[in-house]
Amino acid sequence: MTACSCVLLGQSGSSSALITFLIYTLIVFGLAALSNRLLKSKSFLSEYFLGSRGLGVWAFALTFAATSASGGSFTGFPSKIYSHGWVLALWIGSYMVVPICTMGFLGKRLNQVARISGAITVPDVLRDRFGSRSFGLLAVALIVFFMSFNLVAQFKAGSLILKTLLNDVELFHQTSSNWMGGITGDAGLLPGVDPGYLLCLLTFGVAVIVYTTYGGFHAVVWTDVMQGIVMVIGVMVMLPLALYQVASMNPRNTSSLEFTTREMAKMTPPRRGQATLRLETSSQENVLLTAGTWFAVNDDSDGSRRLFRLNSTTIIEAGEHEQRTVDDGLSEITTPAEIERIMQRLESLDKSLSGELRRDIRLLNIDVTGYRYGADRPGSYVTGPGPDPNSDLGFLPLSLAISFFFMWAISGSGQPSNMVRLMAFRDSTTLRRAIITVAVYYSAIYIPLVIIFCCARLLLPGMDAESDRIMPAIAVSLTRQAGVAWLAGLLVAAPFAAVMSTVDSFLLMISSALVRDIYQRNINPAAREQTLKRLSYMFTLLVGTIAMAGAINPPLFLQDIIVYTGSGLAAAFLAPIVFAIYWPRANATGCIAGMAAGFAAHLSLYVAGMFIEGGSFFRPYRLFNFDPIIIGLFVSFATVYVVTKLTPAPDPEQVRRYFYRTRTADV
Amino acid sequence: MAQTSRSLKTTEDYDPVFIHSRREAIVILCLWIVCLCWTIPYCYQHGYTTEVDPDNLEIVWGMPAWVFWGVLLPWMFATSFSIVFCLFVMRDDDLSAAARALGTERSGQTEPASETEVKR
Repeated sequence: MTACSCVLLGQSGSSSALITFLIYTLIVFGLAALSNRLLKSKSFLSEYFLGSRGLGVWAFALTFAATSASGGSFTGFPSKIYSHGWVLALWIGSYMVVPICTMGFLGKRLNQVARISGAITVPDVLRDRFGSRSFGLLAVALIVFFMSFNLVAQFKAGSLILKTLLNDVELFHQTSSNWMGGITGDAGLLPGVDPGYLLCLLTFGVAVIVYTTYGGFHAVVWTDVMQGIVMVIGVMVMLPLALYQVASMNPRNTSSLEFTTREMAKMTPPRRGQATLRLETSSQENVLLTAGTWFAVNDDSDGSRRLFRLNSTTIIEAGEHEQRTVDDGLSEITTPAEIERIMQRLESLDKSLSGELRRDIRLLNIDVTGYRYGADRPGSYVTGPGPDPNSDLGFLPLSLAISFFFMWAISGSGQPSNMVRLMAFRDSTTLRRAIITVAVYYSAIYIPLVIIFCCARLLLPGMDAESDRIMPAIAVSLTRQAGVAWLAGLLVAAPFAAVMSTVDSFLLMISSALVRDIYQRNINPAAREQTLKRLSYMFTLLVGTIAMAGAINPPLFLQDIIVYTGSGLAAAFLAPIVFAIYWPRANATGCIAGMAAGFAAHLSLYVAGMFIEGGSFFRPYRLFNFDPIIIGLFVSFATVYVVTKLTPAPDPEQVRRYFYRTRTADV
Repeated sequence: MAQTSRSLKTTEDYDPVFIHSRREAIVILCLWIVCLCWTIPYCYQHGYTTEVDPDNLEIVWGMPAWVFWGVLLPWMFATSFSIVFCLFVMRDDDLSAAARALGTERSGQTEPASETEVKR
């Protein structure tokens, strides 16, 4: 969150953000209380972890959609659209089949198998289907391993979004400095931690942990429903506002979207770098230059005008003449038509632009470089592979486009958090209607998001270096221009809702793995319900608290962790589950081998990346330029098949139980 | 497979939910393949170009033509197919029938159904 964003939220009326958040939290707690009442009337474990397999159409559809959407849909995805243009339509393209693939491919059969075995969790299904305790424990170990990392990353994401939401609320700053200042100061327990972040982490963490612990699965589902509704309303409000405001810039008799696309076709990516900012006359006070400040420079060589935008807040100290910006602290707009348009808006004091033009500051020693793909090439924002500052291949080369078609639709089917929901719907009619609902829901979200954030390139130009905050920035800008600033709080709540719905689901998955799969099924099968109840509350609380503690000093690579854990889970779980429910010949040895091989292949490409690509674990080696998920899935499916064929057939009793009519007898 | 086949009757005795689900899964897989084969080659052929004339860019419904024909149209097709498939093709099966017959439907119980069958 930068100072510029603070200004934006501030101008929108900061109290709306706080009020939105408070109302939101109150509703969430209310839903948890209602859910807890249900727990008293039904079997505890089945209700707490699976909602007694009673989810109806809306609950099932929206919990599935909201959990799958994650925070990325409302933070990372808009940022990518803004940075790389129309090619993001292809990047997200496989969402056209995500609902039917992730719900229809496994849904009906997995639900039936879970009912036959009495399974409440995914490890339960694998363990009972193959009668193998070791398989269940392996599945538990992988779920806990992947989801713990993911949970820490999601806690960080939620806290950052909450900080964006509250950053201009005076009470928030007072509270964070008063309450957290002592802890995060040099002499405190957590020196160096941002007090505002810490307060947001505690607020977000305690809220999620308490309502998930208290309400269990139904609380998670009902809050997901609310969060899913918030998300779609946010998009539906932003779309017409964005098109309407682009129309005011359109001098031609064409549609707003066509105007946007044609203007994007003229654009060339910005150059990024640094420069020395020099005041015409020194000041006796510090000169604060917030991110978003603009500078115009006349190019002596050809008389043209160059336009720069400051990416990070910079201070010229009192009495000083100049200050060098940080690396990548400056962006240069490179499209002549865009420069003219921005200058006109700056000169007419257009308040929808986030910063002002500073004529009293000169830029010296300008050192900027272009993108590695797309620099000085008009059209890169409306064609593939899209501009990219770091890759010579562009943002989405063909191999990655294919990988993402696998990633969303196929790896989405392999997420245990999705599988649990497939075990929870009431009947096949519910499944059929829910697939339709989610298909319409995703169509209503993802295509409009691409349009909104293509429009954002015209409405809020120059934010390439800060594209992570384009979502709150555009929400505030659109609502303020439309005279409904109070709506900004609701729109900014959409990404917060998305992260919350993912965190609560993962939290419950880990605690169910510990209580059900380890304690009840391996340590004390005869445990009393009261004991299980206490343990469920305790583990949900404990896991959430540990993850929250881990997020105090969170890992840097937030999105990378989420991608690694999501694709790793799919590489490990999809093949064993598919074979377990669709292939009578599948046996425990083959499926365990497939799970281990998928996990190992996927992990080894990340480890290989550290040596071959040099440095970070999160720069995986891409065999044939494909994402590791493709290799992991291929290895996992092939291993299950080959090992199963080489090992003895499964126990006929097990096969009969899961694949044959119950009256079938041996021949 | 041989041992399983010898000890059990033929596919006529398979649980209908298994048969229907498998058939539906194959159709869904085919839909994914169709969309992949439509979207990726079309977009690569028409959208991955280095020469663009901004004034003569082909546009449909306000978006680049390759996005419309390569992403939006298959998206509409896939969504329509999903709706028709769910309304008229996907079978309404009784998912609890097998569990009821085996006495293992467990929404109201906490003991693992097949605990005794798990190999120790």
